[in-house]
Amino acid sequence: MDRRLVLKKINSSLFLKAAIPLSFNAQILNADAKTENKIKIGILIPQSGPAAIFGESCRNCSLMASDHINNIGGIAGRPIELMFADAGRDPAEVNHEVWSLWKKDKCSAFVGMHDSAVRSAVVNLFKGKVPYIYTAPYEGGECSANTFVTGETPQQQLEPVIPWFVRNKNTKRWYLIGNDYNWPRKTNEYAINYITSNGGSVVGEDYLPFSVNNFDSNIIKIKRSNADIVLITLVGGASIAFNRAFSGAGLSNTVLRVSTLLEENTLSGIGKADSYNLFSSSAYFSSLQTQAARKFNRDYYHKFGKNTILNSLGQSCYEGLLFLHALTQNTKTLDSTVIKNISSDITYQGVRGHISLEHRHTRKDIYLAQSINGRFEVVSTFNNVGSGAIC
Amino acid sequence: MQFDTIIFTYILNFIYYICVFILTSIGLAIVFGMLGVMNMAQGELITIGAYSLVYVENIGLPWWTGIILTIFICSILAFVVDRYLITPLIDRPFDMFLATWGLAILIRETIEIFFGNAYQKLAFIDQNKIEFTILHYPAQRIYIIISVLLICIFCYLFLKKSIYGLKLRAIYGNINLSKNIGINVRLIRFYTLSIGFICSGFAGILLAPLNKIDPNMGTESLMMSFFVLVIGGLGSLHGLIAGSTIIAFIEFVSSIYFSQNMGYVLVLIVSVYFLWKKPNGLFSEQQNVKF
Repeated sequence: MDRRLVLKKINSSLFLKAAIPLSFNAQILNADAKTENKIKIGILIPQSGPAAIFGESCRNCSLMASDHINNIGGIAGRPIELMFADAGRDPAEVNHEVWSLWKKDKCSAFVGMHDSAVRSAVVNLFKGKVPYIYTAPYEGGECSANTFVTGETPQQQLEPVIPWFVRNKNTKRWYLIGNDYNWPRKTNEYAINYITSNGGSVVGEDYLPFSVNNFDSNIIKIKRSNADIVLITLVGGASIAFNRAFSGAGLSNTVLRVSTLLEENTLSGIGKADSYNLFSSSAYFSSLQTQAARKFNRDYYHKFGKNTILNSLGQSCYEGLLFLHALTQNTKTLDSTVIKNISSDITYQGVRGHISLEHRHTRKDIYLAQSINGRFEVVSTFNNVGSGAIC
Repeated sequence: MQFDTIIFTYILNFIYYICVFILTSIGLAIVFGMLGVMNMAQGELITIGAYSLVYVENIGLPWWTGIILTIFICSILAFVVDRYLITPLIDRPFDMFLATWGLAILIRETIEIFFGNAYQKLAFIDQNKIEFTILHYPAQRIYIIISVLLICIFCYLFLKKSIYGLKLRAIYGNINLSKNIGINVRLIRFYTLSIGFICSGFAGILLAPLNKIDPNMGTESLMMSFFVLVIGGLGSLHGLIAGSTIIAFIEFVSSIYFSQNMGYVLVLIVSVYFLWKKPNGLFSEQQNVKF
């Protein structure tokens, strides 16, 4: 075979992945020509890269939301149509695709579940000229015009949870371990504050690069620190490897673990045996026992089957679209100059419970769940927790 | 925790580190070291081993059938790679490099089509969990250490004591002479390739219970395998062990005294030093074997 031919083939197989979302958009575009009346909403979800494992559930939940919204009359009286973009790539590449959705396909609003780097990039791109709803848990501090955050902030996930542990589990000595980037460091900044003000102390703090999957030295440090509890802000694969090694070293019987980004996929990767005494703090678990949540869970698995695990990150896209719907309930328009001035009085009843807008973030219920036989079971509910954001 | 237990844990951890590096590198050491095939898809064989376990569990078979499935898939892959990739491209190492890279992508995408890209779980580990309670040392790590010992002994016997090993070493020494005295070079190459592939598959089986299982799990270990071979040298078992020990030592010490980032940087520096001053590694046999 000719060398150029081989190169060409390799190239085409490399770009195959990038081409899939593009061709998918093209399909929607064709279908669109017939349905001029619809409002288009851009959905930015990871379809490639390390977060791609959440892509499928994000998509499914977004589709469920669009069905639901269209059933109850659409947004501003018009049915909605979703257009997906891959937010799992470099911010610059994502911006390129988002720009095309915004300017060429005329999307009137955006809902995004992705990392903060992509968020800053698209916020800079939008400059407040289009409503944008960010649904992922994040480190806080987003106050740009026309940007609304429905995800959890560290304050929401920790302010009620840390005192709960100190009071009910008598955990005085805290060890903090996370991946080395903005979100874990910011989360731990708040955590240290709450721990010390509740009479606890921080006995160790570690930040590890994403490439690390060997946690032996950290586990020995945790052992020697006599910690009562470990606050984990490791993400995805790192969380799986850490939790397995932690339990393998026999620590799970004596030392508790709590994480602020531990959803159903990661828990399933950790497995039953290694998730003893493991807690997670989040605004949603697929095993929530409220009536709305049970119905949502049933509908999800009925519609999409058991192949894609319903998880909190995927479900956040559903909430994001519901929030967008609530935002336009009174104004009946998605015009950015009108949306920009909305500051309060937006409330709705979602799958997660009662949600209300406050400082461009949302007040909501926070659940603390414990892994029991590899499934989350809510051990405590904290009602109507503020985001701590001041915009 | 008593002081002596900690020392003991450190020692066991260090041995375990060495074993993991040997385990993830042995397949590449055979395929690249003995056959000179720069196989970029070697990491994906580790993934195949892990997913074999997931697959047999999903269809309700006992876990050990995963071993049989791994041997089966790896042998078939070895046959296909030998016949359609190595034979036509043997004189063009760069093309082979690209072709195996393409194969790696193909394997990853195929796994993604069948299993999706979510983290997989293995329930049988949860059911049969054993722990050495006195040390609190995970049983799986002990199994890995024992298995690596067994694999090394097997490879030693295969290379030094069996007739195939003798022929392989003859080919490695002088390929033209070997052909002329009637050694079936292609058959020996196929056997060696299969063993290299199966070793990597076993690595996946052994590491699956300790790591995340997703389509990219093997890719990450490939780079470290190359560093092990750069430091240890190609074509010998003691080179592999030496390379693994040095890298394990660097990572181990720096993770205790500095950070794991630092460990990775040090591994890179040492590897560059070796490429510069000792390009054949610590223990190198004769180079440039051509089939």
